[in-house]
Amino acid sequence: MEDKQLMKDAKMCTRWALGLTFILIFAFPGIMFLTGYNYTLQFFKGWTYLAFAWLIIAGLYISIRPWVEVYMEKRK
Amino acid sequence: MLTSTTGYMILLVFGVFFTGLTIIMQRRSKTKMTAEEFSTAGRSVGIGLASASIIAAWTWAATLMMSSSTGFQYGISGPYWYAAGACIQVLLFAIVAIHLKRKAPKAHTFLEFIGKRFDQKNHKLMMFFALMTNIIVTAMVILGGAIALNSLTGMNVYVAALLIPLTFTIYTMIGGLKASFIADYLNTVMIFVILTIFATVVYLKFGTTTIYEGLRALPESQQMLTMASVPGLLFGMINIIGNFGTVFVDQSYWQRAIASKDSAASKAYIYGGIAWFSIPFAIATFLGVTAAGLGLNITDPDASAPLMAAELLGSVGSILFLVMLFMAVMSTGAAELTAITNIIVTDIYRKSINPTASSEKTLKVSRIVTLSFGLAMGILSVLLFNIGIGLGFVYMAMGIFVSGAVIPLTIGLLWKRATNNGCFYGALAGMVSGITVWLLSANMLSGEITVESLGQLHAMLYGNVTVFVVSGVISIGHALISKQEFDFEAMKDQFKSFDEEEKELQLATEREVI
Repeated sequence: MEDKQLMKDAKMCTRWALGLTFILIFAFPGIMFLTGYNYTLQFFKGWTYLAFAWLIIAGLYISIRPWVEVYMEKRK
Repeated sequence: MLTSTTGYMILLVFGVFFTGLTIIMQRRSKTKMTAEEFSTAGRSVGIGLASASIIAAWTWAATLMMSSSTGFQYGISGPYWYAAGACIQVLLFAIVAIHLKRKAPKAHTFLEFIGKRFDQKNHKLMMFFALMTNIIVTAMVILGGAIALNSLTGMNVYVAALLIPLTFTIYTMIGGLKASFIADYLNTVMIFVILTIFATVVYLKFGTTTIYEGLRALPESQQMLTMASVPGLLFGMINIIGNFGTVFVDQSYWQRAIASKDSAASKAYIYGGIAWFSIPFAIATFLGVTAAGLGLNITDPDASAPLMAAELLGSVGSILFLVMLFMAVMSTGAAELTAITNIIVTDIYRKSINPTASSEKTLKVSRIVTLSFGLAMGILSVLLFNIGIGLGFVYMAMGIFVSGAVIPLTIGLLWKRATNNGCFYGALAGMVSGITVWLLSANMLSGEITVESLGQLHAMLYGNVTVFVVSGVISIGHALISKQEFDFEAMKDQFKSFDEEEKELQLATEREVI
């Protein structure tokens, strides 16, 4: 049963890892490189907002999640 | 510029704080510290803590300094290529992490798995790669921290290089992997907080329009505002290839999988990888690209981040940057130190020197190894600095030395047809040919072999690519030709925790007495 769950996890994380790798390394930069797109002010603004938002969400997730897990564990 | 006293104070305050915290936690802990607990943190770490720890281990001084340097030099493509190029290894590592959990649930190091999957010579070769990775990374982390302390506070670089390892060695020696996890969490949170402060100040003080107009006005504006920057792409390729070695061959990442609960092992790498992306992406955008856009007079691109931090908030900015950098140095240093200790204790001491060592004895040896290596790393960093080898050079050249093991190691774990000889000669030939091509191309492109010519982007790229192609062709090619098959199921029960081994030994002794 445990091995079954691990197999299921392995399949799920393989899909995510390969999918994200494809998007981050091939799809997005590939399109941007081939089109030779030059950032407009609007696009540049969006780009920095993305960097900022990603930072905040990632920071909140990393800070809060371990505490949530401790709380859940205690409740169990 | 801050005073050198500030540098000493930062080292002292954080060193004492984390050591004190570890001692308090140790005293409050209901369970006694054993060798197993020291090296695996009880294999009970959840997704959140494991993700934070993965981020901390992967956030080097280079992540903060080098990524900003790429933003300053290549414009917006620099931060992206740094972040994406070093994030996918963590994401892909999730796949091997879960397979290690399945195939060797009680292993302490990935080398323990290699030792049972392949033969002695393969185990020794992979151990050479693993130790080389840990030693280079630790030295680089200390070197980065010492250079930053020296440039921001004027603190003596040699004293800094010798004192930095002390700060993380002592608490790691006391608390083992668990202490490293707690420190990693605190360090990661602190890094995110400080980065958010910098990003907010950039918006409030300058706004994006000023930076954009500044970038457009630069002579090299053609490459600053596009992803179609060729130097940026070349850097990205080196970054992608080189970083596979520093994740896949580094025991500290395997250790985080080993320490995690079964259900957390793979998810922690996916979540950790996605969250880590934001660190170099944000710092390089808000400090590196912004410094270029504002036209700051920076002669050394590697110093763009601290100088921009000082520009934003004066000496408060410098202190915040230094604290952030020091956090990164501490957590990576501790992670590497526990990794080296685990390899030496599990794969050398317990395997060849004293296989019947008690838990107490193993714990004592672990602590001695941690202390000795921590101190030795400071000395090695001083030596590297004396040779004139800098942060950027080591960062980009590292892949050539360590990536030879990546494909053999991965197929050894995932593919039943991977062969012992194919993986051994693939890894060895990969490294030798990579170094050869690197030296030859540096000589052909610059007419001489010097630290400078070896540091050129093209020479680094050829060396890095050769390592992967040669090791991949030999290890996969040999597997396809020989058609051997390995039974992973048979090796599953061959791994035992230190505690189980001790119990078995005690039972055997009791039987002998009877």
